[in-house]
Amino acid sequence: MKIELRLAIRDRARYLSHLEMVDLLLAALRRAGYEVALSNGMRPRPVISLALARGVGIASEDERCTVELVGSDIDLDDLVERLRATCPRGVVPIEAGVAGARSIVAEATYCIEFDAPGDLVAQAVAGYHSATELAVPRRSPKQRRSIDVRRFAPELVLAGSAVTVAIAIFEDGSAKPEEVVRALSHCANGDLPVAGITRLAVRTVPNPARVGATENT
Amino acid sequence: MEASPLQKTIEHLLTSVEKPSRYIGGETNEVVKPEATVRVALSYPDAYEIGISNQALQILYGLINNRTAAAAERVYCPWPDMADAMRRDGVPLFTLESWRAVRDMDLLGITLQAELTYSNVLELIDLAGIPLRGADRSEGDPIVLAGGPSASNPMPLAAFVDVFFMGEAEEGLLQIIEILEQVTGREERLDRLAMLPFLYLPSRGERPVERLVFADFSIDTQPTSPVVPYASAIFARASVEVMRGCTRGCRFCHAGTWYRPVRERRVEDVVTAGLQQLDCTGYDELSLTSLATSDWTGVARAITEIKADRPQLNLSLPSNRVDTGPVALLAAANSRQRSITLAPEAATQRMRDIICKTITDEMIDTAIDAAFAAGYTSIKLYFMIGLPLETFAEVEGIVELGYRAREIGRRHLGEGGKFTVHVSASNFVPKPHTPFQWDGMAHPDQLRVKQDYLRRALKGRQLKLSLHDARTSMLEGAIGRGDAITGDVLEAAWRAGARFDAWTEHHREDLWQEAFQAFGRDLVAEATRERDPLDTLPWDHVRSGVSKEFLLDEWWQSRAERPTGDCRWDGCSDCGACVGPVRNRLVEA
Repeated sequence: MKIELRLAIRDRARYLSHLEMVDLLLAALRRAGYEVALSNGMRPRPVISLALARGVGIASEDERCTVELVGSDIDLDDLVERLRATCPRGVVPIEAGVAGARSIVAEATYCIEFDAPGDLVAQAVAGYHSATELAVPRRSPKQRRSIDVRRFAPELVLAGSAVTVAIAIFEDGSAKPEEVVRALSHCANGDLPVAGITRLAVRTVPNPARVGATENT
Repeated sequence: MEASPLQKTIEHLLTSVEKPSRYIGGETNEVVKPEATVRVALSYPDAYEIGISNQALQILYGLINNRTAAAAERVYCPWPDMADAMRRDGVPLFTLESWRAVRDMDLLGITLQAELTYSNVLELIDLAGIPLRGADRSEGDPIVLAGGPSASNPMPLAAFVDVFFMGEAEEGLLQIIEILEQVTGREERLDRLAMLPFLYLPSRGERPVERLVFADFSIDTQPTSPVVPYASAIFARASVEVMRGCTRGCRFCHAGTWYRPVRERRVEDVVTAGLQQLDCTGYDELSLTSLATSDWTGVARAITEIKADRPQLNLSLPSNRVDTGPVALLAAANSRQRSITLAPEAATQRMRDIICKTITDEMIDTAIDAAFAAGYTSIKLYFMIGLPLETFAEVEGIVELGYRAREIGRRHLGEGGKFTVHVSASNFVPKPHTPFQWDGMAHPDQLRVKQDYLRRALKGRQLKLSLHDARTSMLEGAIGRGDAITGDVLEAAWRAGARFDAWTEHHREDLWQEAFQAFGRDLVAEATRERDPLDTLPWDHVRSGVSKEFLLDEWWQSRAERPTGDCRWDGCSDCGACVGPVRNRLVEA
């Protein structure tokens, strides 16, 4: 039975990496008494995936995990209850549902809290909105390129020293919330220290074209 | 609860360091006890992924936290990027559970499993904000205690450690905690601790200190809910220690002396503990550990019972002897694992007689044949080079045995069969309290010549070779049999920047050579120096239970190329380890 779990990642647990999160969820499911289904092939692996990789250090109120459990009659409320008892500190199961057709993440909304005066943040947001393009460099071990942050995150909502931003995920890529911070720092002509970033919500859309894509993380 | 300024600063640091999960705690089965009146920080002086995998600390963590008034928390050595950031921002070493400063604890307990972690011991003490040398500490500083197998020669760390624990800690550590609960002042506590015969307090002078043996070896001390590490740990599996001690008598082996005599656990207890641990951790692998699990008389029955209960379980039996029994057992135990390690240690009969490894060529060939027959496709053969009395014929023997194993593999899987014979050759390092404690290491130039030969001679399809870095082996040898001056060298090297010496990317041979030279010594000369049997050794005041006369007799037997029997089956060899209730105890005998 394929399940979609929604979890919150809070406190120190936000420093766990994607792989660490997958491993601890597998162990938590086993402790809760569930058997995770294995994939076919020469090297069977547990059928589990997280919808959208989360940067280390970013908290989340909407972490989506799809996992296939052995059995067809699984009480979803009971699953959440049992997982709450077996997940480590800071990993909080919120709800579970039967996974539907394959979907892709179209947008993720983040709240970025700055450790800076509200007027300075407001000035940065105004600069952000007035710019037509905000390019920030992205370096990876393989390449260096430039990302136009505004293309993926055109609108910021300011509340005191916090900014809420919905970042679109297109077929050719997306921006990271840290890159939005860098763009805002650029607009503020200096570093804007961050107190914390939280992913508030993830929006998915059906994508039949993705059916058959790799299931494992 | 509002975060303290220290906790806020730690959070800030975590955004900029590699693998922040090393420092966050919060793993499943972690214990947090804010109400405790005695607080202990347990430490493994290496990175989280190494330290969290240490079974001994998991045992002690569980035992201390079972006491109402005491709390054990964990701390590992911060990776250099984190350590530098902590120094820059004035963050003291903190425990994972509560993010409290280690210097506010009553005791910092450090396990010494390897000499190459000694610079990290200094790093831990310094990062904690505790005066580096015991003589400079005062009221309010925690007691720094070190235990574990490498504490059997305490002298290189004697200036930095307040108390050394000799032997097996299950019962003795609780005696220490009781004293900490009863007495508050640092000096008063040390005075009380000095009365325990298994503790060595350098500040109270050099007196004989006895290794403590956990005679009962009760299953009750085995943790049922060990902390489940995050994914980066080197070992993430349930494990039950099935047996302690080994009397095979390999003359190079420190554990073979330090953990005598053999005490086996009952099959029923092991099976129950293993299944409980699996349920409490969510692991899908169970390891039955000991110095040589295939020697445990209950191994076959335990495998049968565990597999009957959990047919899909990945069951691993590390540390197996070379004969067909363990291979067959392993095959029965584990259908998913395709690799097996066999440890002939030496490739020729002469050298095996010298080191007292009582196996024959025929046994080795039979074991390899059985392993391939059982379906293993990766056979790792473990050897040592640089052993006492070694000639080049012994090194050639490793090459011959490697090719012989390949031929056996080809008989099973064909000329182009998909399998690997992995030959691993480490460098012999003499250890205190062993019959070879008087021998020197081979000179690094000799080791390199032998390693070069192995590289040239042992290559080809289906063969793989791995060798140990001669530089780190030399350092291990120079520190391991060191004295108080070695402690000064250690401090000089650490002050110059040495840390994480076991990690090749951090090992700085130049710093160590300069440090040795600053004290009129030479690193290589220290490691290769032979000791005179008539000399007093720096660790002579530590009584392992095995007599020095026995060790010396074994040394002579090695020169005569004569192995000694195992007292479990061949009669007592009068080593001295069995006293009163402390004696070999086999479950299926």
